[in-house]
Amino acid sequence: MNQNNENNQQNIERKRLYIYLAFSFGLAWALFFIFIINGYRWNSEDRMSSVLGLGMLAPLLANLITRLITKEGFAMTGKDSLMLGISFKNKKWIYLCLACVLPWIYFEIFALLEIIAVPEAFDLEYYKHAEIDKVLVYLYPVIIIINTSIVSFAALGEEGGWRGYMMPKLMKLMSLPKAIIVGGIIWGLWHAPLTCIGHNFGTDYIGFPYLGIVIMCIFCTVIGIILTFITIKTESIWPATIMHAVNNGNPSILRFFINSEIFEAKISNILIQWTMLLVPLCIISIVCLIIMNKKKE
Amino acid sequence: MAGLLYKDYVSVFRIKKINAVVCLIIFTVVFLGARILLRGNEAEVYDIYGNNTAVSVIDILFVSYYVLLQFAFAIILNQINIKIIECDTKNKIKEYIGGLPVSKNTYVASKYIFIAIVCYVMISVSYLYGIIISAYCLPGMACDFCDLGMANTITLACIFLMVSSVELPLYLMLGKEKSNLFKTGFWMIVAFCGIGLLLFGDGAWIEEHINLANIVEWYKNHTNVILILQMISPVIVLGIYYLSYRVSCRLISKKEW
Repeated sequence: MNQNNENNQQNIERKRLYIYLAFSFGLAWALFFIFIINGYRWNSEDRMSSVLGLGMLAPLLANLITRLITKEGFAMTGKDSLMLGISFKNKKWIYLCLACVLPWIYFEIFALLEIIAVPEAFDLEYYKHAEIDKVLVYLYPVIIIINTSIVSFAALGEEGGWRGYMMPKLMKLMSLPKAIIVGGIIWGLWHAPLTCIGHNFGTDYIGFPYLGIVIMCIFCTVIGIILTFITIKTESIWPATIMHAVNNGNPSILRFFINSEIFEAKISNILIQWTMLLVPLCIISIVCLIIMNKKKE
Repeated sequence: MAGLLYKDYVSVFRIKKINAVVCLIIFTVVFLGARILLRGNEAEVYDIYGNNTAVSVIDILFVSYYVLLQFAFAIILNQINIKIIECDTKNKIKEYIGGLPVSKNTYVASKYIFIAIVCYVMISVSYLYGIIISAYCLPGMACDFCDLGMANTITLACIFLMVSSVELPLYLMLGKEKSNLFKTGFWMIVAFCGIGLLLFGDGAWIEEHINLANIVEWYKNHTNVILILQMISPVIVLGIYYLSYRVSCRLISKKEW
C-alpha cells in the first residue's frame, strides 16, 4: 500500500515536472525562434541580444504557471515553496557571501590558467585598451558584484525555475548525483537555440554547434552543482540568483591584463578556453558534491 | 512575515479597489507590445545634430513613457513610508498584531523588507522596459536616454532607501502627524538658517567657498572618486538602511503598543 502511494506520488511529481519543462522550454524557445527566424544572430554588442536574453525569465514564469495548473500553491518559504524567502540565521549568511565571491574566485583562477598557458599574453599595460582607470580595474569585481546583485532579475528568472522548481522535483524522483546530471543536461539543452546562433562560443569553432551544446551541458551540470548546493544550504533561491548574476558579469581583475589578441593567436578555439574555465569550477563543485553527499549519509 | 508584507502591499497599492501596481504593469506591457509592433516604422526622424543624434518620433513617444514610469516610481517611493504607517494607524494594526504571535522586531522588519522589495521590483521593471525600448531605438539620443534612465534607476532607489532610513524610525516612533510636524519644523529651521546666513553671514567667505565654478572644478578633478562612490553607494546605502532598522527595533522595543 505504501509502495503504491509512493509510486503515485512519484508519478504526480513526474507529471508536474513535465508540465514545468514544457512551459519553460516552450516560452523561451518561442522567443528565441521568433528572433532566429527574423534573422538575428547573437552579438553581445547588439542591444537586441539583451532582449533575447530576457528569455531567462521563462523558467520563473513556467514555475508560476505550473503551480497555477497543478494547484501546488505559491508559498514563499518552506517545503515545496517558491523559496523566495531568505534567512541569515544558522550561518546561512556565509553561503550568501560565498555566492557573491565564488564567481570572482573561479574567474581569477581561469585568468591565471590563461596566463600560464600563454605567458606572453600577460601585459600590465593592457588594461588601457578597456579605457578604464586603473583604480576601477582593481575595484571591478566589487562593482560587478554590487551591480549584478541589484539588477539580478534575469538571473532570478532562471534560478526561480531551475533551482526553485526543477531541482527539488528531480531530487524527489532520483538520487542526488543523477538529479544534478539530468538537471544540468536539461539546463544546457535549454540554451541550445542560443548556442546555435553564437551565444557564449560564437559560431567559428570545430563541431559547431553540437560541440558547443555539449560543452554548455557540461558547464551547466558543473555550475549547477554549486548553485544547487547553495540553494539547499540556504533554502532560498536568492544566493543562487546572486551567484548566477555575478557569474554572468564575468568579474575578474586579471583579465584586464591579458592581451586577447596574443592569447587568441595561440589558443583560438573558444571551446578550449571554456574547458580552462571548467577546471576551477570542477574543483569547487566536487567539494560541494562531497559535502552534500556527506550530509545525506 | 508573508502576511505582514501582503498587508503592506494591499494598504499601499490598493486605491479604491484599483491595484496601482497592476495598472502600472498593464500600461508598461501595452507600451512594450506597441513598441514591438511598431518596429521598423521609425520613418519620421528628427536629425538634430547629425546622424549620431537622430531621434525618431516613435522613439520619443516610448522614451517619454519611460520618463513617466520613473516619475511614477519616484511618487510611489516618496509616499510609501507615510502610507504604510498611516494605514496601520488607521486600521489599528499595531493593536491587532499585539495579540498575535508576532514580535515587534518582525513588524519593523516587514516594513523595511517591503520597501526594499518595492525598490528591487522598480529597478527590475525599469531595466526591463529600458532594455526592450533601447533595443528598438534608432542609435543616438534616444538610446543614450534609455541608458541614462537605467543607470539613474539605481541612484533613484538609493536616494529613496536613504530617505526611508531616516523617515521610517521617525514614523514608527512618532506616528504620521507628529513626524510630519517634526519634518516641517526641521526644514523650516534649515530654511531660516540659510536666510540668516545670507542676511548676516560673511558674504565674501560664501562667495569664495560656495562657488559653482569651484564645485565644477572639483568635480572635474575628482571624477574617479565620484565614480567609485557612485559604484559602491548601494552598499553604503544598504548599510545605513540596516542600521536604521536596528535603530527602529531599539526605539520600538521601548514603546508601548
